[in-house]
Amino acid sequence: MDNEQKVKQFHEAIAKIKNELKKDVVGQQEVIDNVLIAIIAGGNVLLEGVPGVGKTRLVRSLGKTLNLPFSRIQFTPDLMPSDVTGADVIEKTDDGKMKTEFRKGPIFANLVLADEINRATPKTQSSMLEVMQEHKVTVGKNTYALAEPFFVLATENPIEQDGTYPLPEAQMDRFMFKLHMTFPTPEEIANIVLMTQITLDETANAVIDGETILAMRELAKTVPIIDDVLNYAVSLVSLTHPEIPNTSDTAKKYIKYGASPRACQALVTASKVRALMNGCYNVSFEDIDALAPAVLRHRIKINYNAINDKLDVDDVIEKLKQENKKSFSNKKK
Amino acid sequence: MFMSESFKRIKRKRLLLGVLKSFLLGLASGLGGVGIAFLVVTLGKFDFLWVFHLIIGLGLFFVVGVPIFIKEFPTDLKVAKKLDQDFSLKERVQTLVEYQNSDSVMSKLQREDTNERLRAIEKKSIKFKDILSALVVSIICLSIFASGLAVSLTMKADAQTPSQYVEEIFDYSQNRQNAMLELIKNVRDSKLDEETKENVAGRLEEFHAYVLEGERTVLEVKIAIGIAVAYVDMELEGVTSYREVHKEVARVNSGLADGIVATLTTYKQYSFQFSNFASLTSIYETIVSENELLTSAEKYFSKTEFTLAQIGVEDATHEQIKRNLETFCREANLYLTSTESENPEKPHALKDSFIALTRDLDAYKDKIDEFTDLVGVRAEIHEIFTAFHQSFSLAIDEEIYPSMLQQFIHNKLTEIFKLQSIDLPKITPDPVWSNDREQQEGENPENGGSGGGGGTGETLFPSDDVIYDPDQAKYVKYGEILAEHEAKMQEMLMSSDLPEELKKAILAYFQFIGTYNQKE
Repeated sequence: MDNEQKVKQFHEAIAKIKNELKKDVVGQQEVIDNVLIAIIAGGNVLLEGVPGVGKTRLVRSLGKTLNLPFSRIQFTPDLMPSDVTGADVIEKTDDGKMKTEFRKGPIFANLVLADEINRATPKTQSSMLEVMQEHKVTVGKNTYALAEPFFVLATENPIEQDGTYPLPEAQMDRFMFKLHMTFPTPEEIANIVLMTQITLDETANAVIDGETILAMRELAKTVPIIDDVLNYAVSLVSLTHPEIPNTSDTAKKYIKYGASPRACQALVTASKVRALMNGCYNVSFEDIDALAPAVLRHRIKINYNAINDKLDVDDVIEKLKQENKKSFSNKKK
Repeated sequence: MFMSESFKRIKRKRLLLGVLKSFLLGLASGLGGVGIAFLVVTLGKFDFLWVFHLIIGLGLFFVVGVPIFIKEFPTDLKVAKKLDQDFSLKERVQTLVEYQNSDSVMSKLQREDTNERLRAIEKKSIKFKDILSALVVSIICLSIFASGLAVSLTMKADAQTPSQYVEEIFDYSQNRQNAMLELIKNVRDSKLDEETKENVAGRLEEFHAYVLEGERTVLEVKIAIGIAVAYVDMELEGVTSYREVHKEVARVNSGLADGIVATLTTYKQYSFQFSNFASLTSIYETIVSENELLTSAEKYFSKTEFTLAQIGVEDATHEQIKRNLETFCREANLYLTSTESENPEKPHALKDSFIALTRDLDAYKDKIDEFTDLVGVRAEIHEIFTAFHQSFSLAIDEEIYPSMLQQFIHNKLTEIFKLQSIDLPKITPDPVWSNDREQQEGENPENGGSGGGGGTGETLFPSDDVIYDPDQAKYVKYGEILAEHEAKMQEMLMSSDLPEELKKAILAYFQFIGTYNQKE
């Protein structure tokens, strides 16, 4: 297959997925695009939204569309890590001997929906760390590789905070994007109601497979990024750190701690996919800017000054973007 | 290396644009700088050589033009950034440039995609706004230059005519100062009376001190000279009318008075050429010291001719004396009026003429000694000679020297200060002897009797001159009444019992008058 065909297939696959998802999910186009970007880039996504906006439905529909083994883990306070990863169990063999055998948990799937992930205890949440970063599960002395492609799509409810455990920063960092699912417009709600009158099940069909996703990922990795754009991304992430000398005023004033280098990796990788998805064969400043909120909003912690000034994390990121543009254009001059 | 042809062409265009822009802005800055320099120099009235304007212009051209060219010089990356920015190409061209050596699949696709877009924008890759700022700046600078030049030229033109004359500082050099002091000394050494001498020298000293006092413009000096000369003229003109000369001469020889005054006037006019005090003195000495001889000769010629004729001098002797006398008079006139009067030959010629005349006179004197019965005639001749000499010498001494000195001062000042004759007040001509006398007298006949003996009947005028006729109570031409007077004389001679000798003398006298009149 020559390269042009690969690119063509890439765009066709994206179009197909989007078409299928439209059958089950009304609106949320930006979220859908970003989820696809994350999946192709090999990142995990944290979906945040009020109940009923279609978080779970989106993930389920996506699982169907991608034709990937899908599992759903409902995170609850009593959920144990072994409930996620699986555990060694003692079994009696046919010959009557006892042996330990690893029973795979629901994490052993290509697409895992970690529903209401913030309701599990930190102990259980932390069981996701290795899985999400290394796509491996270690139980006892044994390490089990997960099948590729592997994605975790987690959801969390921002308003029901009672009995929840905020995700630790280390785990947050494992998510490539944190996406807000906004409340649908009246027209969208009407469409949702009409759609669910027929059936509550997802109707999306499988249009691609895991192999295709892996091929798309490899293709996206080859998208060139010039030094200026790379430096722009690095600069933006650096500006989130209040402790760095000559950092942004915004960071000094509003940020408690900034994003990790993993954010920069995620930003560049995701930007490549975004560029390719949009028919561009190189990463642009626009790609970086567009993905910055999704990449950074869960990686930086705003302080009380921001709250006092009635700024949320997205407002702070917007300020950082403006400062980054200004300082970067000054540097170029 | 894979580089788009479109990109290369766009780059060439931008190179041309850079050259044009830098040249335009450099030129504009140069012209603007020169314009500002013009304004500053003109309005500030600084003395600035035009070559400095040129240096400023060229300096600014390079100082501004070169950095702009360097800044605008289109490197691949600069052109790429510009194109990405101007056409919202999302860093496609920059990627193209940065990955031009990459042969990866995606780079190839990226190149193709970018090339396609570059081809689409190639024609409009140079936008008018790229050159707009340069054009605006150029127009502004050009306006400044034009304004500066216009102001400079206008003010220069306004100031040109008077300034070179008015503003020029007069150089009162040491040589000029010495010449001025020498002139003052000449005045002090002159033969003027002490009071006049002090006044004239004082005026000149005052002027000298004024010029020395501080920096003076040429115009100021000219005005000061004019004032000084006006004062000097006032001091001297009161004694330069020759009226006294005329009066004195006319007292003993009315026919000769006009001739002498005319000669002196002519001399005065020509003496304008003299600027050497020694020469002036020499001429004056000649006139004054030898005037005894001159006047005696002329007196003899004019007055004694009648007497000689009466006593029967031989015609040959008479004619010889007459010729010598005429030669002398001609030489004297020539000497006095010649512009080459400094020629050393002239005084000798005058002297030789004089010697010839005196020799003849001596010879004649010997002859008249034989006429012992005519002692009265001899006494008459002697008396006339003495009276004329004394009166003429006195008059000429009083009048001609101030006139000469006045003219000398004019000449010297003109020479020292490099003036034109029109820069100094004109020496007022004596109304009595000037050419417009007739007009003046015609306009004011009541005053005519006081002028130069006009209308007294004592003066012999040229035939076209006017004379007051008491019978007609108006001024008439002398030539018109001469025949009438002669007719009356003939009538009186016919009807009277006068001795024959006296009748002859009267006839001879009228004959002489007629001859003189014809000569004039």
